[in-house]
Amino acid sequence: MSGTSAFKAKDQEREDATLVKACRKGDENAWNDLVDRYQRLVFAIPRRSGLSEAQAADVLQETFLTLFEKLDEIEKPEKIRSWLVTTSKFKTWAVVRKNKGIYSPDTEEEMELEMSNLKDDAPLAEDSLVQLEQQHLIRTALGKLEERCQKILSMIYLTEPAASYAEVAEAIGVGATSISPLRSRCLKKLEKVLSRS
Amino acid sequence: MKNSEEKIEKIINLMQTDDSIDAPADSVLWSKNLFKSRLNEQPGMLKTIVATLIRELGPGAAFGERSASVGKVRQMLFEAGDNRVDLRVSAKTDTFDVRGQILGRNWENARVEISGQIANVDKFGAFVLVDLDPGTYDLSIRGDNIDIVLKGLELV
Repeated sequence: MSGTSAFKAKDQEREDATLVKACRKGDENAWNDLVDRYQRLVFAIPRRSGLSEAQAADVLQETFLTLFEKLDEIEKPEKIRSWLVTTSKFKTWAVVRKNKGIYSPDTEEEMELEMSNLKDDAPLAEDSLVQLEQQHLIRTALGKLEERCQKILSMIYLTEPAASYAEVAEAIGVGATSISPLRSRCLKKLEKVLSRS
Repeated sequence: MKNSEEKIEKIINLMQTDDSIDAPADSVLWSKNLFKSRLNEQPGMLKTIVATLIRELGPGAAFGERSASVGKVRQMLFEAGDNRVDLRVSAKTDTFDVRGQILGRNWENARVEISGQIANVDKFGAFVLVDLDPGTYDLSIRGDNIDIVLKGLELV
C-alpha cells in the first residue's frame, strides 16, 4: 500500500511487529491491543463499500479469525496493517459479489484482478483504501500525543460539528486566545510523530 | 509531500473527512476471545507463577537466621496459585539436600530444576535434589502448562 508513504510512521510498524511477535508467544494482552488498534480500520472498509453494519461486523470477525489462524505464518509482522486491509478488502468484496449473486473469487489473485477492473470512484478503489489507512495512522499517532493535544485536535477536527475555540478553551481550562497557538503546536507534534522513520 | 506545512494541511483534511466509527463492541469482544482458544490448544504455552513463601519452620527461623546446623532441617511452605510446595532443606557437611512435595493436581513427571540439577516429580508429587553447594538459587517446577518458580532460595 504505497499510498501511505506521505506518512512514514515507522514506529507504528515496529509496534505492530512487536505485537504480532508477542501474540505468537501467547501474550493475550498483545492480541487485545492488536484488535483494539485495528478494529476501526478493518470495520471501515466494508462500511465504506456500502455493506450493512451487520455485514461489516461479519467481515471484521472473519478478518480477525483469519489473522488468528495465520498468526504464525505471516512473514512480515511489521506489515500487518497492509495484511489486514487486504484481507478485509477481500472478504468485503466476496460479500459484495454474493449480494449481487455473482461468482466470488476464491483467491487473492482473482480478487485483485476483479479489483483492478473497478472504476476509480468505486467504493473499494485504491484511493479510498489509502485514505482509510492514512486516517488510521493519524488516529494512532494522535493517541501518542499528550492528553491536552489529543483533546484540542479531536474537538476541532474529529467531531461533527467542530467545536469552537471557546468550547475547546473551556474544556481544557485555558483562555480562548491560547487555543490557536496550542492547536498549531499540537499539529506540528502530530506531523512529527507521523514522519518518524 | 514537500514540506511540513503541506503535510499538516493534509493531516487536517484527513481528520476532517474521517467518518469511521468503532466496530460493534460485541464483534470486537468476539475477536478478542479468539485468542483464549489458542491458549487452551497449546499445552506448551507456559504460564509462570512465582511462588510466595507463606510459612517457614526450622533452625533459627523465628529469628530470621538462615544457617542450618549439620543434620538440621529447614521446612518452608510456598504458595503458587492453586498449588503449594512443601520444601525441606537439609544441611550436610559442605552441601545441602532439598526434598520437596508439590501439593496440587497433575504434577506427576513434572521437571524440577535448580542450578542445572534436574529431578522428576513422582506420583506423590515428591522430588529430591542432592548435594547442592551453598548459594542462592531459583528453583523451577515445570508442569504441562505451569512453571512454578521459587525465587531466591537461600542455601546457607
